[in-house]
Amino acid sequence: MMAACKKQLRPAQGPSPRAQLGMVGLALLVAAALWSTRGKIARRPPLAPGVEIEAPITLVASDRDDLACSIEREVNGLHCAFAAPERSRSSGDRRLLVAPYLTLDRELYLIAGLFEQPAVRARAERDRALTTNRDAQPRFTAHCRLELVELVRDVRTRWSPSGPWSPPSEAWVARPSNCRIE
Amino acid sequence: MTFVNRLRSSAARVRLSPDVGLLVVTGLMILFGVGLRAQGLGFPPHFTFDEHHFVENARPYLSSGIDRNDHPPLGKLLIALSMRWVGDTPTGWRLFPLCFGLVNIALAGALAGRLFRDWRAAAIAAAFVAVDGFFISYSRTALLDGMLTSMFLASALAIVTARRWPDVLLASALVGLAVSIKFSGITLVAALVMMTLVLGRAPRLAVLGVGSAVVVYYAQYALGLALTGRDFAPRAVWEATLSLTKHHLALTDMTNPATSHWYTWFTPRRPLLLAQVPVEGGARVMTSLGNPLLWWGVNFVVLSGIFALLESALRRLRKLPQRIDGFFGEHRFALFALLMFYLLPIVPWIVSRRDSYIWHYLPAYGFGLILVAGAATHLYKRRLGAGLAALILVAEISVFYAPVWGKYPITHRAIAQRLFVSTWR
Repeated sequence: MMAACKKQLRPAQGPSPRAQLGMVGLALLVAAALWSTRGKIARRPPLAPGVEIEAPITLVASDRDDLACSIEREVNGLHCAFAAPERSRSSGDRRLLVAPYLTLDRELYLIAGLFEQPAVRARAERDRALTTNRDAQPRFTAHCRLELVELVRDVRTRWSPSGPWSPPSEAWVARPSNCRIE
Repeated sequence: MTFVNRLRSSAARVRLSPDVGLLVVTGLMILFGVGLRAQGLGFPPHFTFDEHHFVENARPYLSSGIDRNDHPPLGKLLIALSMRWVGDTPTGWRLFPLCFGLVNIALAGALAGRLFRDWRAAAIAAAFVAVDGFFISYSRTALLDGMLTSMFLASALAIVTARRWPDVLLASALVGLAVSIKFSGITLVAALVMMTLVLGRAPRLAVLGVGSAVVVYYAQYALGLALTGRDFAPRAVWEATLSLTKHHLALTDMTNPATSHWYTWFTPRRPLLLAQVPVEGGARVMTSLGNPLLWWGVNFVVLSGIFALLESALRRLRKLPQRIDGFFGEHRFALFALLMFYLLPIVPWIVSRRDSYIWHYLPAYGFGLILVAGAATHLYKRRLGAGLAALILVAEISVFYAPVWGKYPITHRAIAQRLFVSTWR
């Protein structure tokens, strides 16, 4: 192949090497301009305890009573409704009770007292007043600010009281604030 | 003479290669493609598209469960291997597809260099694969098709270079690896037969070396069964293979919203959004859409090549002299080989009613890109300025599309500018 390569045509005509480099330089400028056409978007900071993120959480009113998680221990005073599957934990203050929720892009968060947030509670009460049938309740999105507390690696989740428990997985425990409904 | 003057005079004496523009542009394109593939591999931290099929069925190989996926074990064994090394994390799931995605760049370059006997064709082919979104997206997702394409490219390289028995054995083993990822790899056997038995480029009896493909296929399947605590005797592998085959042959209803008929792949009507994560004011997305200029370039060169081959066959029948000028005249074997490798992965979807998806086109598209690289090299050698400008245009289009291949935050408006056909979003 080397011998064949040596016999190849050299470029006989065309821009000089310096002009070629000029073309490349110009192309780089155009590339920078094209790259910037993606628009300005705020990047989310790396997830870590104490970091606050915006999350669009998808909900129906009956999620308040249907969703549950299980973690053996408490996380900064927050806890799931179950210490282990089928071993429920007595829950007093609902603001400390953690439950699993999904964002619109299917990210799982364990959020404490989401339905105690005024906007979420008001929306859920309104929907429950219309119907208690889960399938008939409209889905809505709560845009909340979440303060990350801890990444737990052994959480199990359940999406309805009669549903199966998921295998252990990892998720961030978070405290919500400033929720608004869409 | 001051130091600055001496520096200027030395710089003036430096003789730049007449190919300096090509070297710099292809080098930058390859670097850009590598960087785009490797950055932010762990994002999003959850499954996207069909990743769950392969990751959840890779896990049993680490914990003695059962792989319920409908493809042979090799792809999932590889994913399991990286999960064992890196952990059961998003980066762990996607590490091997990334490695194979990088290997694809090198393989495309090697195959182009071999077939067109020109390092410039190698550089351009590698650059085209590096900056094409179809290849980039499948290098960043825990799916099998990028890895399958590596096996197609590696097998093709081994098949076209095979001259002796050991070469054919190696090529057959690679074919076996392709089949071990997805059954569609079986079409490579036809290329092996064509090159050895029909064209006689290697000892004709060496075609029997295809047995090494069977050995490789059995070995990986037996390993998969053994790791999940099941019987791995040849009969068990045969029965598992038969069961998978029956399952695939029954998948003919085309009801999955992601399905697309093979003849729509050339337009392309339905590329897939492999990831879509909303962010404030926009989204982070990854589409399987290729570089539009390269995509249409593949269509054009493949169609022209088919016509050129038909004309050549007609001339042979009429005993007329063959054309020896022009791109196709100068590279008849490369054209024949690349068209064969381009068409083979598409054939199963033409001749059967099996549900088809655009990712089935990825291996074929790779060979199409190599053919386009050959044509671009031909142009470059004759009209350097035009050839270089064409390469730069490809690169600029890729820069424009890079945010929707690399899952960069992008506004909805900018997404719509890039994915301007409604079925692309």
